[in-house]
Amino acid sequence: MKFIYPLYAILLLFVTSCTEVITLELDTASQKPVIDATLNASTGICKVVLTKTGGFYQKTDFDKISNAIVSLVDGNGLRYNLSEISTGIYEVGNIKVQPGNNFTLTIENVEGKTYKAEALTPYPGKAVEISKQLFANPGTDTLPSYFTSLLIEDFPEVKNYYQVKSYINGKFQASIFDFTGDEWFDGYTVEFPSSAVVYEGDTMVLELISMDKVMYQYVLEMSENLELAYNPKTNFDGDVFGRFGIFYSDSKEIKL
Amino acid sequence: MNRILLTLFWTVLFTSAGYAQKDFTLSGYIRDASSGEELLYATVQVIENQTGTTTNLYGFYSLTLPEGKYHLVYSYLGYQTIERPLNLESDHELTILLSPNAQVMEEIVVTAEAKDKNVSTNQMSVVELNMVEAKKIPVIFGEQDILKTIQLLPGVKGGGEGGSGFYVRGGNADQNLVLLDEAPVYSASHLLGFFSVFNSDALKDVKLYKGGMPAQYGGRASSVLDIRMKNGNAKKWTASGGLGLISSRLTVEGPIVKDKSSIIVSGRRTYADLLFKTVSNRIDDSQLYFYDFNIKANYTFSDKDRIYYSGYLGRDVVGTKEFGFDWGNNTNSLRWNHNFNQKMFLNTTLISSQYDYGINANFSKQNFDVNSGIYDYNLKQDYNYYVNPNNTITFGWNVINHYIKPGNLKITGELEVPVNVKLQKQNSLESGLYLANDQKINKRLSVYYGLRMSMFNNVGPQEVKTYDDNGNVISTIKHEKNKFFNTYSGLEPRASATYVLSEKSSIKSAYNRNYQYLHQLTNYTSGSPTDSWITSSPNIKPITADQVSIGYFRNFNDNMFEFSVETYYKWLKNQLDYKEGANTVLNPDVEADLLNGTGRAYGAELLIRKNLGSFTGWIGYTLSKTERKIPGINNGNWYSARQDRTHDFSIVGTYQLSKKITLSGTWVYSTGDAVSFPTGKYNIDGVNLNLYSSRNGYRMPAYHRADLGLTWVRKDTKDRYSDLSFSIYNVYHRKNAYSITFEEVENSPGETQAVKTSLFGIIPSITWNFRY
Repeated sequence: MKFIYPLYAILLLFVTSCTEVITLELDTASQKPVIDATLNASTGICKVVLTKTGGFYQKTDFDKISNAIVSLVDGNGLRYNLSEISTGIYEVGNIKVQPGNNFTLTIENVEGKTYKAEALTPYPGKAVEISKQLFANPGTDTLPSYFTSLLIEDFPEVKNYYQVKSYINGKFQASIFDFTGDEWFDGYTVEFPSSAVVYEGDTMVLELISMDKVMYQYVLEMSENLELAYNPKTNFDGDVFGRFGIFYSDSKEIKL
Repeated sequence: MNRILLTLFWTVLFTSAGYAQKDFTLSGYIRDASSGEELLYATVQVIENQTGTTTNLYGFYSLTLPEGKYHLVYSYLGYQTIERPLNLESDHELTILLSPNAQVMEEIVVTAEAKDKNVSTNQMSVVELNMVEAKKIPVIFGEQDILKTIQLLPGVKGGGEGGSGFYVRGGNADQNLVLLDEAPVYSASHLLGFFSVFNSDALKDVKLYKGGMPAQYGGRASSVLDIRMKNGNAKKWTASGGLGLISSRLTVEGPIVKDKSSIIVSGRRTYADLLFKTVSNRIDDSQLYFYDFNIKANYTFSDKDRIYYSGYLGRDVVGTKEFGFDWGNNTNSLRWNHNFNQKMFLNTTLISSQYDYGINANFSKQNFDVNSGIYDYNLKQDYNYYVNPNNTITFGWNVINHYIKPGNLKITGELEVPVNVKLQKQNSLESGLYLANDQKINKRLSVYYGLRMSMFNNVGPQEVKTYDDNGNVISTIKHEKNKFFNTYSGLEPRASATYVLSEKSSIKSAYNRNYQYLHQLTNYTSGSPTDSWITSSPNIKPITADQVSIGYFRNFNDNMFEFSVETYYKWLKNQLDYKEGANTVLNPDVEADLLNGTGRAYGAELLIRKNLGSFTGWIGYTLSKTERKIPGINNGNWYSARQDRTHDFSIVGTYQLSKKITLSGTWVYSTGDAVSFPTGKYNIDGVNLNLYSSRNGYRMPAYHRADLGLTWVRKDTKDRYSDLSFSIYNVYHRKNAYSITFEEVENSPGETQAVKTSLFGIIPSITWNFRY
């Protein structure tokens, strides 16, 4: 429901703004563990990446956390142990997942501490097709540009939450957050716009992520991390960053 | 409370009794000689006994004196001061016409208002803008803007370039009551804050109360900006206007029935989009403009009765054929002035005001329409009772119906979605009752004391939910139509005192309490046209503000220079803010996403002003602190509000080089806004997130800028006037930071850099102004 933002983009085109890179002296917070944990219900793979926070100006070569003991338990008590497939990355596959299932993730031996989080398996929405609309005509040195929208078919009669991730020519557009709950189209198909602008010749993939409320809330807070300057709240117990979420994935592609 | 009222009653009666047997009343209006416009707050002074009064908000004055011979001095800033002898042997009506100084420039070199008025009047924390003077100050794109001009005075801070709203003594932008001919204006800016909605050509008077506001004003916690439109020239038809680089304006005014009825119609429209289309093909089909339309008409039935109608319509339009976004205000005021007799004046006003926005997006298979609005209907009466020269009693009441449509969403098109979202409407009544007396105790001491009682009622039909700490609904109570299901009320004392130390100096103090029952929800620091209003409710308590201020006022060189220093301390309770991660869009449970805290603001304001001579202007400085403490933010500790700027400095100067050339200049400096910068980062799902350690612990770079202006009068006769107004905004091309963002370094994935965005560099502009 953030289709208002393209309008601000149009407005800002009129402003004679200029940008410059500046140097800011920033304090560095003490390091804390970061847990990026997801269960992809479409593939049955659970993946956990354990890192530590870094200094603001350092590259993303964050310190990894090895030798943790990571396990996933479903609502019936069935336990899956994750293996460390490379430094700080833990994974297990062939997990049986059904909408409505609860899972508990436990991570032990993280610098001597244990962290635990629960998540609920969502009901999947369906990515139907991508449509496009001309955003601006070509200039002398530019190509035509387009907005794209993903048709989302909502799973009826349950509360669903969606994020649409944009990939242009294979590159994930990490700064774009398009997400919505289904309270305004429960059980219907809706045309949901991507905030990304693409040019003629680009290949655009829109991935529909169906998730539970906890993971959705985390996405919402991630989207405000830069603008409103706060840290998204974790669903792990303890003093860590990150979250554990379960999602379904479905995607469509268009060549512009 | 009863004791206070009794004291008030006996005090007034006692001071009246001394004059009871041979007192007569002089009353009337003070008007502009050329147009017949009433002059508000003009001064009447009695030389013999050093007493006097000022005209009220409608240009009316009343003065009761013992029988005798007097000399009266009538004055108003920017107008010729005149002196009249008076032999007061009976009640007398006298309307005075004052000439603007421009017409008497050759005979009178200096301009003046009442001598030492700023020292002697029992009023502090007030900013008065003279429209003639304000028009000489250089502004961006040559667009005269009263909101930008008042921000040059101490205690008033702007929202920054591109930011809507203004902040008064640490209050939030929604804590300012902005009135246009008594109608509240809910969004006072165009184009996300670049321009105000007030077309200077249609305005007569602007007064901002930063504190110590009189008891007739209520409803906002921090300030009152009272703007009055012109009535229209009652003598002859005139047309005036201007052609600028991005907008044009035209005003036509004149008598419908000479000296009995007049009308003014004023319009303004920007055309920046048309110009940009010629230079950019990226914005084909795009729209970006705003327009304003003001109208005011009045009719004088008799010496005792007069009615006025004022209307304002303004709208911003942004978008393309696929996306559209428009927002704006519409206000209407119907007023009736009635003089019961020479001592009792009544104003009755019926007001409507609305602010709404609409968004539409047309995709290939579906069309989305979102709309939201706030609608006010207000009836009020204000009485002025001029008991005697030492006591003026004001009393009155008002009732406002606030009707809010928080948001509707409709999806139509090939794939219609019949699940239309309609957030429940909010209906409420806000009412006030007040009584106050402006009393002169003796030649040195004047006091103002008053009491306002305000009440707020939520009215059904409405569902009220209660929430647990996690925002989950615990219970829902459904209230029937027209049921008053929740009430808040409170007493708002207002008091001020002035002690004149000498002819040239005085000390003043003031205290006020204000309740605010309406709240604007904004999740972004710069504000947005989609910021919605909600009312107090069982879940949302009204904001309470208490402010004390004390000041020293001094004039030098026979009124040529004014100096004042004011200090203030303000406490705010029930200050609202969003929770982190609040869902702000079409959320039926938005009340569960709000936090409730406290605020405090304190500071000192210095002003040195030169009022007379060919060079006029002022230097203003504010030293201040503004903090908030809201559980759930910053670990519950005090933190600086975004608008907390320790130092705020401004210099404004106007120099009359010759009859035809006026030069002007301003320079402003302020500490950068309080902001949160990251102290680290981490990665989730391929996204680099900033890590924050505290709220608003850093500062944006300091802001400073100089503007220059030159007005070249091309023609100035009795019937025709034209000038060319040149201005240069940001003369030394200071790249002030509009924002500082953090982004990935190109070709170095994972490395982050800080990027400063500046909006406006040096901007020259030219405007042709005319009057026929």
